[in-house]
Amino acid sequence: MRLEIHNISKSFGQLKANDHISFTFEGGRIYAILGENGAGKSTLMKILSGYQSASSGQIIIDGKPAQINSPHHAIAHGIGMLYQDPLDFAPLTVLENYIEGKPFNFFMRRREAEADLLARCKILGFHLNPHAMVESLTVGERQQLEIVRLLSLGVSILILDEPTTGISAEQKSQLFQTLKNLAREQNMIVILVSHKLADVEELCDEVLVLRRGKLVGHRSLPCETEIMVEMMFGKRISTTVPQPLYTDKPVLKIHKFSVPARLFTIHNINLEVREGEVIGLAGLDGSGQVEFMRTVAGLGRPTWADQLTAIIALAGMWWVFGKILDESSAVLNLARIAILILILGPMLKTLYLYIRQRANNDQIAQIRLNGKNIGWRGYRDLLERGIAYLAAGRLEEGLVGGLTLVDHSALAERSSLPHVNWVRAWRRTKQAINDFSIKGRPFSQIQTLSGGNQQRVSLSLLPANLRLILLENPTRGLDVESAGHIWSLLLNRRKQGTAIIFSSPDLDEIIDYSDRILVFSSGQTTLVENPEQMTTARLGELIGGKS
Amino acid sequence: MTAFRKILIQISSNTVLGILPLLVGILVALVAILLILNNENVEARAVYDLIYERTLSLPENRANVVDFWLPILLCCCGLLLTFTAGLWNIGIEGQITMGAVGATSIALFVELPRNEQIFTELFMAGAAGGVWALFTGIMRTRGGVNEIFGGVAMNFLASSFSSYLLVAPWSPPNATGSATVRFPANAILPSMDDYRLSPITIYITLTAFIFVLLTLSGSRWGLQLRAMGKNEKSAQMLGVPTERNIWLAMLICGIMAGLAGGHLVLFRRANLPANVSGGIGFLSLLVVLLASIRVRWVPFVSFAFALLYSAGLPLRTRLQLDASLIGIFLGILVFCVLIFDGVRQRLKERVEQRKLLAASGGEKSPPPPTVEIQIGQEASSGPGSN
Amino acid sequence: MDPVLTSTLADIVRNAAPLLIASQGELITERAGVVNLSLDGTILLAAMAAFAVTYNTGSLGMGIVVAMLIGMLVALIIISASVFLKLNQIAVGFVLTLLCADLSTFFGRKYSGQQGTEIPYAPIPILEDIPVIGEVFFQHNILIYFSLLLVIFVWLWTYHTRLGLSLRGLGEHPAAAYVRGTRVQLWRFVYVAAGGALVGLAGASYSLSVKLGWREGSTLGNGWIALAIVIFGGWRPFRIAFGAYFIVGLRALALYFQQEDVLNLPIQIINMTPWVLMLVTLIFVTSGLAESLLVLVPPRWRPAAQNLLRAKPPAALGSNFERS
Repeated sequence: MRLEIHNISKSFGQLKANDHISFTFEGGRIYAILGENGAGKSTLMKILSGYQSASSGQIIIDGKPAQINSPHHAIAHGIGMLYQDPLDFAPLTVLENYIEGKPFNFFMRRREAEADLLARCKILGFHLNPHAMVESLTVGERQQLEIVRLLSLGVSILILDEPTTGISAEQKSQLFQTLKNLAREQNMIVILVSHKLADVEELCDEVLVLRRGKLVGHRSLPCETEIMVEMMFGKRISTTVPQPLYTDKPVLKIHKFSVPARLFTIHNINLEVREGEVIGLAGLDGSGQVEFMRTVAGLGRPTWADQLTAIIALAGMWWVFGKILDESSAVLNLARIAILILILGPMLKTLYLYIRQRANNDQIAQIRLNGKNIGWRGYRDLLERGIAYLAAGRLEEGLVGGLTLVDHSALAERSSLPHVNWVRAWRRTKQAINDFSIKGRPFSQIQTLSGGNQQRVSLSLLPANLRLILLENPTRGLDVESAGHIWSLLLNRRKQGTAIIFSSPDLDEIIDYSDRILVFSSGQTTLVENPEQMTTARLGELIGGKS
Repeated sequence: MTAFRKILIQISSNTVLGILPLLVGILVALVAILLILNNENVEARAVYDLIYERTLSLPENRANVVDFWLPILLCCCGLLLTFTAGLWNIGIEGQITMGAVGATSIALFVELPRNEQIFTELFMAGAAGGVWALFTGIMRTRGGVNEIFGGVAMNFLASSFSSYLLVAPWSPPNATGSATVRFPANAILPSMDDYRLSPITIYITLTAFIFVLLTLSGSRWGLQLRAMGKNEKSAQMLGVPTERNIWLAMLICGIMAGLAGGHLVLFRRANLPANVSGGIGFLSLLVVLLASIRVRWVPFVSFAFALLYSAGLPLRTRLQLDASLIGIFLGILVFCVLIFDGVRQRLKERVEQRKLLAASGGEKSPPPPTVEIQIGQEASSGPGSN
Repeated sequence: MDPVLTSTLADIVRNAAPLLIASQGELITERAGVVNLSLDGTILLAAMAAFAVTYNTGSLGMGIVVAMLIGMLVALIIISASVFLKLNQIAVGFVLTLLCADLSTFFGRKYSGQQGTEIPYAPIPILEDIPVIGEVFFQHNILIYFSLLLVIFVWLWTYHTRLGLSLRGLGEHPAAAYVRGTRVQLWRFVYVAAGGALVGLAGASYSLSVKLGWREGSTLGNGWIALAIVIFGGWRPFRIAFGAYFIVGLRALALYFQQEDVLNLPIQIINMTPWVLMLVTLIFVTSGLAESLLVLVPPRWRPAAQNLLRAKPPAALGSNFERS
């Protein structure tokens, strides 16, 4: 097996994502591709896997030039790629996912495929239930499914994009073992795109470094970590371990709390967050970290009581309306409408809130912010009280694509005036651009900014005096430098006593920045008091369910 | 200075390009209608004369057009709010109908002093339309029922309900159930002396339009609606009370539609007929679509639509055509404007891309990275790294 | 069995056929990730065209083919506008709804109330003699049989063939379908066209069989009902079929009550019931209320019950696929 690439170039407008990259990959070896964000590694991999086509250049497989125009062609040439967010169909079963993409037959041939799937899983040591829905699997299991699927298609060059984020230690060692076996025994080429140097050192034989679309380095491993870092960034980067800043004063108290999540329902979460403390949430994707944070922030699913009040209100409106038209006394009708609008609605809500308030004893789940029960309040209400939430998808849940920075500043402003003071909004935006070193102009539309700058805008929009910030994967898709910047901005806020709770699939990040770690695993939570003594491997075991 | 000129050029070219699809749309629609007329062996001149005669020739007819225009403009004002918030208020037909029903319930059965009478009627019209819309809004935010489907359902409920009223409890003695009896004079909106126009409706419409104009051009609430229309989840995360805003936008739109329905029965018809709205709700949706939510276009577009629409009826008796001919014209017009506006957008993208290319030295390049489905995070986020 | 009941059931099977065909067509369209909102107008126009063509040429086949072509054309306009011009499918669909309805009124005015040809009655030889079932299912015309077979065919296609599997993938995650070698845009066009053709056929089956003849706005509202049934049916062929029979059954019931004077309700109020029921069911299912009541179901049956209640639209419905 031998894969050669010659002078691969690709540009997006002015940006040269790949600039004349040439290299030869040999069978039986595992390669790592390193580079910061925008270095062009994903682009190169997408070109190899056929998702994008190169502007110029040539791909040669085993001495024969290959025309790769689509992922399908790539697979026909033996190149398969495992994408970071697995490209599969969530509401379909494992078996159906496995079948789709196989050579065409008119019928599904489920039985045949199932036997095939199980046999292949057995060889690789994977345990997949063919009839489970894919949405009920962890990211690690979905990766396993994709690997089995690609291998069944006869792939001999396997590309993996950041495969170790969000999987447990056990799944990771299993994955690495599998990859090693595939390379050594079946003479496959395995290419790993990653930014985790530890993983690269553990698994790979050779490392390639891309910077600004160019291939700037190639080393055989083992090689010193500093050299790799220097090749990636062109300079040395020192990470500083933050000093803890927390006091003894509790901000948030969570008592006997349970949250339904995608994979498990987590029961009995107890947690006390102190002022200025940073708490990291570790766990497999879907174990409940996100649901936990969303519920604390008041973004959980509406309870059945909410629904019931709405339905009663609907029924009430319906009834009143029917009555109006039945009878003909106008004054009575007007009175009814007034009663409905003015009294009934608020009354129902007050009653409901009162009942929830009364449920204020130790037997019942509760969340307290500075001693006050907030479990029943909604997101907006909590935002006023000092709890903010930043979701992982910045342009999906956080920033409004199509609006400018000034618009955002005006939107986030708390004011009871009916009009917007645009001059003030503009001034505040200028200020934020300065303070948060945002690369963008006040009237740039938000989606034209890069990910790191978008995240900085999000941070700049948070109100000043917060008690608690909840963040879902705060550095998603950011390179080490931007991530460091985001973290220094975040950690600065601790000085006012703001506590931080964040989740991340990157265990190193959790260990580096947390004062305490809450581990989510199979419906249980464990609190780790001193993360300094924690290693990534140990944490990986914890999230995988080993105690 | 140069920056100023740049801005000027941009604005002018945008306006020209913005009107171009409209012109092309009118042209295509006209050609289509001419072809149809040719096929029917009717002279275009005759149709034009008829429309002119019915709408613009005499002061009464002009007043009639304005009278027809006002409720449409009122509905458009409401729809501008919901459209900005990203809501498809297809239920507007039902809201108009319920407004008419609400007004009728007072007009037929209650006798109050003149002023209170009118106020109560209009209040009921607005309340009925508003409640009907709010219903759809609540089903959308709390029940998970998309407003399009909820609106359609509410339309059917409203029309079934009004036809039930016409058949059973409100049907005039010895009648077929096609309309109620004529309202007493006390219940009918006052008219101007010179023309048959209702000053109250004019004031209401004017207020509504100014309210919507101010709301959408610079208010906090308008900005919130705009953000919700682009991305509801993000707006919520930024602290916008999305649920309340949806209810409020629907409620206001419903009130406006209800008042429009009230005007139809209290002034235009002076009784409640079957199918009272006569499609003006959908017509208003077309207007707002054509104006692509640009507030300033709406009065003109809606006037043009109202003018044509109100001229439709005699086509059947006089030329053996049908009122739906006007509907076809408007439908083709809006359709073409949508299409050509799409074409313009794509062309604009192309031009911008070519500019980029020229700047980067003329390399071959793929379509610009306006990506909806993203894989990985870096290359797809487009030019400009940290 | 009561002969009145049997004949009522047979009527339901007959009258539900157009709704069934249209909603299965929309099912295919939406499963491919596209919303065809124009159903109401398309059915009207197709019904008118089918009648007019049959009336003028005397050929039923021609009428049906023209109706299907019209449905296909409208659907293709929507998907083309979405794919090539990135327009909102709902906006285009809505405008086309109104335009098609007006076109049907205008061009159909000459045919209004005319006597037309009917699709010939064709009982199936041996099966028709089965007691009850024979009369309910096998004493109709070919279009009705087609509607019955269509449900089974769509079910088999989506759940038991490879092409059906990729159809489900198409509306769920087009990027994943693309990396698996499915030609996303091509298949979207194919399915949308097929769905549109079925909608056209539904129109033809109104004017040539169920509501024989043409009158202005004769099928008004049925397109919206078909759209609602697709949501109500949770995007699954058999649940959708159930929805269609349910709605038509309610109408038949209303008529029956009115004739027999059992209930003293006017027809307009009974006409409202399907919509009210549909809204209530939908609120019940989509708001999560039904799910919170699942606790009452014994654990053994819970997954099955959950599956039954599941009503998630295809994840990529209404969006556009572009490869980056």
